[in-house]
Amino acid sequence: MYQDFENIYGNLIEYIKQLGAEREIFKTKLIRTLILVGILVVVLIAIFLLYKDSYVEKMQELEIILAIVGVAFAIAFIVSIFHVGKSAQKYNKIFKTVILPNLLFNIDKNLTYTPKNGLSKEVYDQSGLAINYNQYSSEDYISGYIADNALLEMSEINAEEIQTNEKGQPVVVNSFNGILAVATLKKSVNNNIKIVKNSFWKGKREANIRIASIQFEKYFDMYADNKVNAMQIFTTDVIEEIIGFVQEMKIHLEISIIDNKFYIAFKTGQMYEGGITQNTKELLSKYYVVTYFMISLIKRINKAIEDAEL
Amino acid sequence: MIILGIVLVILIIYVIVTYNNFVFLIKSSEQARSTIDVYLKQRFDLIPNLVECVKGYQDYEQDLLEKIVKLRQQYDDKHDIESATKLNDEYNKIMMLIEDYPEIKAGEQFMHLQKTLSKIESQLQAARRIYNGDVTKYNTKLNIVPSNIVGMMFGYKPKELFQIEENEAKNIKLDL
Repeated sequence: MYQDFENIYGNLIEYIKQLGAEREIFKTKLIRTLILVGILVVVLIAIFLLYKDSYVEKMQELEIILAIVGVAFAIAFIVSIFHVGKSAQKYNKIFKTVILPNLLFNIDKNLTYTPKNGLSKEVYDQSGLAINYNQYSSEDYISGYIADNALLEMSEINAEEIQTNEKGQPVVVNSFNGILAVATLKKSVNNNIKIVKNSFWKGKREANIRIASIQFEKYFDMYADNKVNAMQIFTTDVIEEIIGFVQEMKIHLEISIIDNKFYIAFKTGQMYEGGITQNTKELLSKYYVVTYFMISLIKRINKAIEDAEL
Repeated sequence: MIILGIVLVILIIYVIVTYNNFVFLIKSSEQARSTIDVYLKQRFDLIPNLVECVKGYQDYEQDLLEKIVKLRQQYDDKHDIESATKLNDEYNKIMMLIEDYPEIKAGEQFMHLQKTLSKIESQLQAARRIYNGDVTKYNTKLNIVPSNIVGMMFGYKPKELFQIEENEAKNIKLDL
């Protein structure tokens, strides 16, 4: 799998160089802006100290200096938007319109990427993996018919809950930020299966499946209405692939299968972003592994369904 | 005195919770075991059909049939892992026998049978994993402190895993 990534990365090297050039421009502009702000702050404080009236008390003096720093940063912010921001936008544009679609195309030729679209709130609710939330946003929509005509749709999701603290002030609590994918399976398995984060308090105890794997039990709890059917789908190979992914990538995931829909949620945080300050190869490698794993898992599950003649 | 009382209450609660856990795991593993029995029965019920398929291709069909009928009877009486394993071994021998005869494999009767068998095998394997998962959890509880103390108090014994061999290609020498 990683060999494939190296090849893909090699094919994208020209675009990545272009990206690197944009990053350098961004860095230069950022440094210039910071120097400008520094000079501005020093000059303004110097002017203030030279011409201050004697009636300005020590406390007021400090407040005025802080105000000067604040103003300087506000100016820097405005300058950044027009000056540095443009560069960052150009960087992101190259990343999202050239590099990412190319990476996805190399993983599966049928995948298409629409940065501004996302999965609907209804899909998130139907997954059975949604936790309390009252604010929802989604972007970076990827879709396509992967092998065996299984339609795969995925996007980044940010679900938050606005709570009220003891003082009556609103507090934003993040309930999920990561990738949600939904795939249509070959056929309905007439079951309701869930693989969720391991918890001391078990949900439906009768539906809980204890897998003879310490590693699996360390990360997950598994529930199913029909246990035998669930184990036919989640064969030893599939379970091992899931454990391997979690151990290597340190990304937690949750899975549900409801009739003919397969849902998988990765707690990745922001995904499919350029990350101008981050290492491009590491980022692309992460996006590649997550996407590849997801597709591979769906294919394996479809095969398990076929083999077991469910 | 109050502290002693609190400790005692905590201990009693722990014993009750652990005991319930043991009972739940035993029930769950028994349920899983009976699911295995259902699939084993379905699988073994197909043995006469299998023997029918190999008839005429080997000289000792009568012996094989008699042996299988005997083992089947043993399994029906005992329903334990040992008798299931013995019967399963004979079953695998028939399957290996068929491997050597492409003409049997190509037959419509066998193809239909094989389809049914592979479905049952998949279910059997899944049921076996569920049972072994329950038993592993139960045995672990019996081995770790302090739940093993509760286990000993109620006389619980470790359970055997279900390690019946699946029908896979093995190099078995058959006298044909």
